[in-house]
Amino acid sequence: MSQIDFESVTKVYDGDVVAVDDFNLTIESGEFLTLVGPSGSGKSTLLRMVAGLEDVTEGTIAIGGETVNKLPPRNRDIAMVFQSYALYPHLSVRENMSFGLKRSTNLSNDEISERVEEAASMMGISDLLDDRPKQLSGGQRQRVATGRAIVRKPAVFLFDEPLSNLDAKLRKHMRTELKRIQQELDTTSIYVTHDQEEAMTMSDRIAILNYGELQQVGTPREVYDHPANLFVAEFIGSPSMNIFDVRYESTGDGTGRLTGDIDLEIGDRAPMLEARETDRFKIGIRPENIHVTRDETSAQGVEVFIDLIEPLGRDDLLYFSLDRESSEQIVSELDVEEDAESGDIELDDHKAFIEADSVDPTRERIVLTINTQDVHIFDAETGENVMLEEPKQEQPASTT
Amino acid sequence: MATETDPQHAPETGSESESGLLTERYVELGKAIGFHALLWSLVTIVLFPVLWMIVVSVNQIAFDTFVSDPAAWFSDASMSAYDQMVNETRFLTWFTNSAIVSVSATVVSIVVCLLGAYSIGRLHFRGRQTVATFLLITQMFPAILIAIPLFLVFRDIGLFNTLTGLVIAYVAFTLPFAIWMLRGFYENLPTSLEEAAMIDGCTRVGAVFRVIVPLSAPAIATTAIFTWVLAWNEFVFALVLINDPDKKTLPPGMSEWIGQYSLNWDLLMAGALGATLPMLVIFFFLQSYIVKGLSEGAVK
Repeated sequence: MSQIDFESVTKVYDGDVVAVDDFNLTIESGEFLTLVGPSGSGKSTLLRMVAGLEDVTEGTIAIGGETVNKLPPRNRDIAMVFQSYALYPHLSVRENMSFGLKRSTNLSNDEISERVEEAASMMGISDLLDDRPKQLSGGQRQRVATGRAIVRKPAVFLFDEPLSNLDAKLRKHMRTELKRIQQELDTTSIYVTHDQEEAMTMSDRIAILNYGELQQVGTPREVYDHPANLFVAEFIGSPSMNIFDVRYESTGDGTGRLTGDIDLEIGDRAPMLEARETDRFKIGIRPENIHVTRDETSAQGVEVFIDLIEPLGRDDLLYFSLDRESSEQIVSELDVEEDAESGDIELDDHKAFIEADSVDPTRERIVLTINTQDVHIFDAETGENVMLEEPKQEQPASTT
Repeated sequence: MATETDPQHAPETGSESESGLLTERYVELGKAIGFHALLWSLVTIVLFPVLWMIVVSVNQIAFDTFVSDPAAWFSDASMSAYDQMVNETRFLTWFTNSAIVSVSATVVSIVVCLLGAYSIGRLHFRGRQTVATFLLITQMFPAILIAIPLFLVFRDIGLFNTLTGLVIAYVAFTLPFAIWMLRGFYENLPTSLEEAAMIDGCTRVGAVFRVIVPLSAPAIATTAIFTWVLAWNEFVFALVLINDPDKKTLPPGMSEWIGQYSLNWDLLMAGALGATLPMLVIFFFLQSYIVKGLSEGAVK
C-alpha cells in the first residue's frame, strides 16, 4: 500500500556539497526501516526529502507507487516526529493533536475529538489534553509529538531522532513503546538516528549511511553478523569491533596465516584472501568473541597488556593493548575522555568481554584466545568485507 | 575597616564577631540606602518634566515662585487651559487626525513587515541579504532630507495635504526598522514548527498565519508600539506634507500655538499632556508585552 521507493536519489546543496549520493532503496509497506549513520551522513536529508521539506536534486522518491518529488508536504500523506518535537507552543495538547486533522481532513469535530482521544489513550496522555506544551516534561512532550503523528493515520511515519532529547532510561522505554505502536498500526516508518543501539533494537531493517552513501541494508542480525565493510563493522555494535592490521602470508599450499598486530591461522578461509590483489588486511573481532585463555601455552593465544577492567555487572569489560607504550597512553586518554558527554569513546584501544572477576586487575599481561571463525576480514584499502564473497549474504536492493 | 573602629575590644574574640555582625548590617543598610537614593533620583529626573507639565497646565507659574510658595500655586489653580484647549482650538481635530494616521500606519506597517520580515528571515532567495542591507540604508538619511523630495512627489500625485499620504510616508519610514526587529525574532524561531504545520496540512502561508504569527505576538506588539509612537510623535513629515489646518496632526498643530496665542504655557502644557495620555495608556496595558518582546531571542 505505502511502499516507499528511492531511485537514484541525490541531493546536492549549494551546487557542490553532496549530501546524498545515488541512493536506491525500497521500503516495504508496513516495514520499520532505520537510517543510521554519523552526523553529516545524509540520513536526515533523506528523511526530509521524503517529507517534502527538501527538494530532490536528482532521482525520484515514490510513496505508494506515486512519485512525490513535486508534491508539497501536506499532500504526501505523511506524519513526522521531530527531534525538537515542534509542538505548537500556543496550542493545548488537544489542539496540537487535532491541528493536522482539521487542516487535512473533512472530519466533523466529533470525529476529530474521538480520534484525538483514541490516540491520546494509546500514548497514555489522556490526562494532559488540556495542558500547554510548556507545562509538560520532556517525556510527555515526546508522547504528544508521537500522538500528533499517529492521530492522522498517515501512510508513512517519519521519525527524526525523536528520542535523542530524552534521558537514557526514558529513551529505552520509549523505543519499546514506539516499536509497539508501529507494529500495532502497521504503518511504513522511516526512523533516523545516530544511535546504533536504537537502530538495532527497533528496526525491521537498518540502512547504514556514511558521507551520503548507502553502506549496507539488512536486518539488525545481518548487519551485525555480516557487515559489508569496515565502516559498518565499526559503527554497529557497542562496544565497537576490535580492528587489527595484518598481512596475509601464503604458505604456498593454498592456505596461509595472518601476521601483524596479531597472528592467526586462517585455515579454510585462505582462498578468499588468495584471490585478493593485496596482502594487507584489517581483521575485526567483536569484544564478545575474545576469551581469556585458560591454557596460557596455547598456540592461538595472543599476549596483551591490561589497561583497565570495567565491571559491567554480568560481565567485565577488559581494555587491552598490544604493546606497553600504547597501553600507558590509553590509560591517560581514558581519564580525559571520562567527562566527554557522548558515551562513544573513540579510542584506539581494544576491548573484550570477560567473565566477571575472572582476571586479577593488578596483573599486567594476559593471554587471549580468538576463534578464527569469529574473525571478520576486510580489505585494508577498500574496506570491503572479504568474507562476504560467499553467497550467504542477501543484500536487498543495496547499492554498494 | 570595620573591626578597627573599636580597638579596645579587639582582643576579645566574642565581641569582635558581634561588632563584625553589626557593621555588616550597617554596610547592608548603607548599600540599600545608596541604591534607592540613586534609583529614585533617576526616576525623579525622568518624571520631573511630566510633573511640571501638570503643574504649569493648571496654573502658569515660574519655577522659583512655585518653590518658594506652593500654596499660591494651589489657590490659583484652574482648568481654564483645558477648557480653552477643547473649545477654542482645533486640538480635538488634530488629536483625531493623529489617531487615524498612527493607527493606520501601525496596521499597514505590521501587515507589510510581518511578511517582509518572514521572507527575509526565513526564505532563501537570491539577494536576500542585499534587500536587508538596503532597508537599513534608508534609515541613514535624516527625515528632513527625505521630507522635501517626498513633498514634491506627493504634490504631483495628489497626496499632499491628505492623511493617506502621511500614512504612506510613516509606513515607508518605520518599515525598515520594524522588519529588522521582527526578522531577528523569526530567525530565532525553530523552523521545525513551520515544517510540522506544513506536514500537518498547511500551505506555507497557512503555516505562517496559523503558527508563526500567534507565536510572534510579543514581537509584533513591540514592533506595533514602536511604529505607533513614531507616527504619533512625528513632526517633520507632518509639517511638510500637511498644510490644511484641519488635516494637521498634533505635533505641528500644537507648534502653531507658540506665537499665535503669545505663548500660553498653560495651554501648551495641557495640550502636551493630552497628547501624552494615549501613550501612557498604551504603555500601561502593553508593558508586559513590550518587556517580553524586547527579551525575545531567548525564546525556547
